Amino acid sequence: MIEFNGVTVKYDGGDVALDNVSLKINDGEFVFIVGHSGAGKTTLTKVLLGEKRVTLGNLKVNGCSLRNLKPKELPHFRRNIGVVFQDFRLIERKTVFENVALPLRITGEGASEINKKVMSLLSLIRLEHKKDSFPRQLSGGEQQRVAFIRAIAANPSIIIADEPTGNVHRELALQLFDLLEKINEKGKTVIVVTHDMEIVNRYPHRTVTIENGKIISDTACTEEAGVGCE
Amino acid sequence: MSKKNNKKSKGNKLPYLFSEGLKGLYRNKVLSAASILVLSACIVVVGLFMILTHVIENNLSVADELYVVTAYISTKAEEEKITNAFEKVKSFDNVTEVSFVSKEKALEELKAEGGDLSDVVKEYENELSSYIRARFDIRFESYDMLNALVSELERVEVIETVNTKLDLYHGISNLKKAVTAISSALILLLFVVAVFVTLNTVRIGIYYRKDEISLMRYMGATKGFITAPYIIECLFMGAVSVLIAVFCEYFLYSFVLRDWIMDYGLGTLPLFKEFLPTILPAFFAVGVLSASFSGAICVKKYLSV
Repeated sequence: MIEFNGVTVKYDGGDVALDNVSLKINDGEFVFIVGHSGAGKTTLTKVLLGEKRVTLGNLKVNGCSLRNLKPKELPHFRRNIGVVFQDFRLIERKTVFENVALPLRITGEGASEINKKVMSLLSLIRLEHKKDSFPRQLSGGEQQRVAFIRAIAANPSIIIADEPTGNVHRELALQLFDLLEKINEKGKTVIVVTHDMEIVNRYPHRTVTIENGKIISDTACTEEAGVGCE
Repeated sequence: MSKKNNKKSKGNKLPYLFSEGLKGLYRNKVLSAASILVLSACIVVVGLFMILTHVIENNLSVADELYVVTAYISTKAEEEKITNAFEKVKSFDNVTEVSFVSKEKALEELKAEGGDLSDVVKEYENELSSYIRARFDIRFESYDMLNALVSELERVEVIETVNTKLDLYHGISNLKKAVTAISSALILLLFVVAVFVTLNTVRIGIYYRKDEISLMRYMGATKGFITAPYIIECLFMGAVSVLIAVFCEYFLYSFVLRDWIMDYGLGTLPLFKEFLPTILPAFFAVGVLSASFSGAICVKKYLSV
């Protein structure tokens, strides 16, 4: 569970990026975070990743308060969260296999285990034949798919996708969301930050709208999803 | 995570991190090679000075001639008094050996040392003999007690003058001190140079990988995981530099310096392997330590994770 309790985030210049945000996301939920540019969506994800400190209030993730988190505990905390970036952020000098394997290397998996898991993930997106290719040899869609499976490689409980369809065409965007839905069906908490309302309207999930650092609306989930909502 | 699993996961990471370090070296191969060569050159210079210091110290300690005091005997001294004086000098502290050189023997020595002028020496033998005196050649152990020995010798009745090689000893001693001081300053200077050279190479590597480093942080990579490849790069550069330097030093010493000194009769030098216990620690200090120091600075300054 993710719990924002009266979270306020101020930057050094005095700008308030998040203003008294209270939000509860249960395990296994699929949540859209929407808002225009500068609304505070990115700050919310940064706070969730421990990259930005909370000025006031508290944030708890799976019972762990980020306020009390020591610097050396932060890397281990982040291993529970997989991130999909808008610009993919694949490492150019590493092959597809090595990119997907990186989170597993960080957690110290053995070589044979890494090989098994990576090949399984590559088959999920039907890119086994490109395991030795470099990112520059892939299309935009292929790169984003690789970025997706890299985010879930270490089996995190939470997936954050920051504008995941910003750089891909519509058809692929839908395919990627289908993939996110499959990930969610396996019990992962999925948080998608987007301003693409067409996608939001197409997929009936809880939608939290942020404006000027405040939550202005928070829809309930559909009954078929069956998880608790605000 | 249990301790056993923790150990296993750490063990799994090591081969990967090691290979990442080597890949980093290969990626910046030109810079890495340049750094290794500069490091090696620094170490070779350090080694040469250390060998020089060692050789001077060795020669100083084995130069028997420096540990001889010459006590000239009065021309009017009687034989019995000379004999008594001989026994007395033998009993002095710091004296290891005393030999008596008679006037006749001294003249023979002069003729032998005359070389091309030996005919001249023979011709003027009668005139020279009035100037030549018998002497005691006294070998002593330590320069620390030399002044006391000279004072005692001057009190001996038959001894007229006492000559020492104190000035020469001081000259060589000062030379040794100067070389040691220069060596120490050079080691320090070259250590700093080595640190800067390696620092620059690693810093450029970090710059080109800053996006990757940022990404690894998001994935939950620890500080150790991110920094280990750079430390390994530095250690590897240091180790390779030491190996190259030892090889170059061996070649320079054994086939150039040693041959040259011995060919010109300037002395004898020991085999290279005798210097290894002295120079290897210094080589590792300049090479591996400087490289590690650079890695640590880089990690602290440019990899604030």
